[in-house]
Amino acid sequence: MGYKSIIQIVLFITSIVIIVAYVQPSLLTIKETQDEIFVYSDAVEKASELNIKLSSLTADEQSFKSTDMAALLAYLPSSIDVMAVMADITSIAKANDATITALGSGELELPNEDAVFDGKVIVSDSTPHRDIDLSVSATYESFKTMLRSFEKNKYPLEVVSFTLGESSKQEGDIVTSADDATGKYELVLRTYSYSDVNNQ
Amino acid sequence: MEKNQGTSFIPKSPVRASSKPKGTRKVYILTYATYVFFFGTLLAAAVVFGYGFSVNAQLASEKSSLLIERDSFNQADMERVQELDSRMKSAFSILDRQVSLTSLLQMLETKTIRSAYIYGLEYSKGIDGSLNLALQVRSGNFNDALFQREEFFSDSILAGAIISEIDYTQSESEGALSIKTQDVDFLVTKTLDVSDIPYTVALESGSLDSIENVDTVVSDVGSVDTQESE
Repeated sequence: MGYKSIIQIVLFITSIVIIVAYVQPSLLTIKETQDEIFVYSDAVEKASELNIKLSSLTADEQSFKSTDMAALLAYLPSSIDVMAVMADITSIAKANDATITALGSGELELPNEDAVFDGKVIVSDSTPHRDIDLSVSATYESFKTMLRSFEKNKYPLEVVSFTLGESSKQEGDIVTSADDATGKYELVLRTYSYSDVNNQ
Repeated sequence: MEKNQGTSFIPKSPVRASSKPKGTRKVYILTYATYVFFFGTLLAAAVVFGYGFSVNAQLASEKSSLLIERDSFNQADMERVQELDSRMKSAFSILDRQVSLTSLLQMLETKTIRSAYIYGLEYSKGIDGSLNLALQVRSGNFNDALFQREEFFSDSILAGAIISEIDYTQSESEGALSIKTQDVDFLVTKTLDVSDIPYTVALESGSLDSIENVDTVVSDVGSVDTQESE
């Protein structure tokens, strides 16, 4: 075996060693790095889109009138001030010539999970609420205007139950029309508050 | 003329011009291939090294970009916008379910005939959001009761209501002047939908702009949520 042949063998073996020990692992590492670059690039793109969208939304939020924001916060406050709500109900009744005979607040009811009732899936409204029992004595017209005031209130006073009781009109009472007879009305009013826990 | 051979007995060949032996050029393919392979390997290693360096620099750049994007993201802004969106959705949901009882009472006023009256009314909202209505109606005779029933049925809200507990009573007042009275009582029940008696608000001028903005934010935040979940 000549000198040249030995050189050739050495070169060949060196080449193989370089390929196996450096080139191939380096290519694998480069591929992994490229995959990583793709992931990062995708993340950067999404993060950028999110930032642009957030900026746009923040700008929209800033564009809201402060009165509208105040109206929203009044309509759906973070918590229910029961005493203030009952005071409002009393004021509304008084303004409409209705006499409150009983007014009581129930417990705060937190939103339930979706349930199945009578074969139907009932989707939870995800909004905490509180019921208030109200008994009033009023003429029919007064009662109607009081209901209208409840409907137009700045926060919801939803009538979830309403019973028209007997009229106090007795035989012999002189009333000009049925609207003048004082009746007893039992109502359950519901008011809501916002909770971000169940609104995600 | 022939040259003299001299004294030597060895015959001499005629003098010829000296010429170099013609060399044969051997091409060693294996050697050539080995060199090409070796230098090719070296070149490939250099290229791989350079490309790897470039790729690493690119990765560092992407990481840096992500860090910049992350730093520019404001978590507080996001939470505030999401809360606003959620609050508006809840408010819209409540508004969508709001009904007008006064419109129901007005309808009953219109549809109740003079010779009949409603002496009891029960309204309740069921757990599934249905609105249950029960009316106790009294009329002087069956003709009035039939007419009243037709009047109720002619209205879209009470169309298809169930008439039950029909009760006929007759009484006579005692005294010098005897007066006979008769009553026909019946119960009208129906499960209403929110769309039967919806609460509608007359929009004031100038409020439309803000409502459009609200819709934009609700839809936009919805799309952001979707992207995040993806």
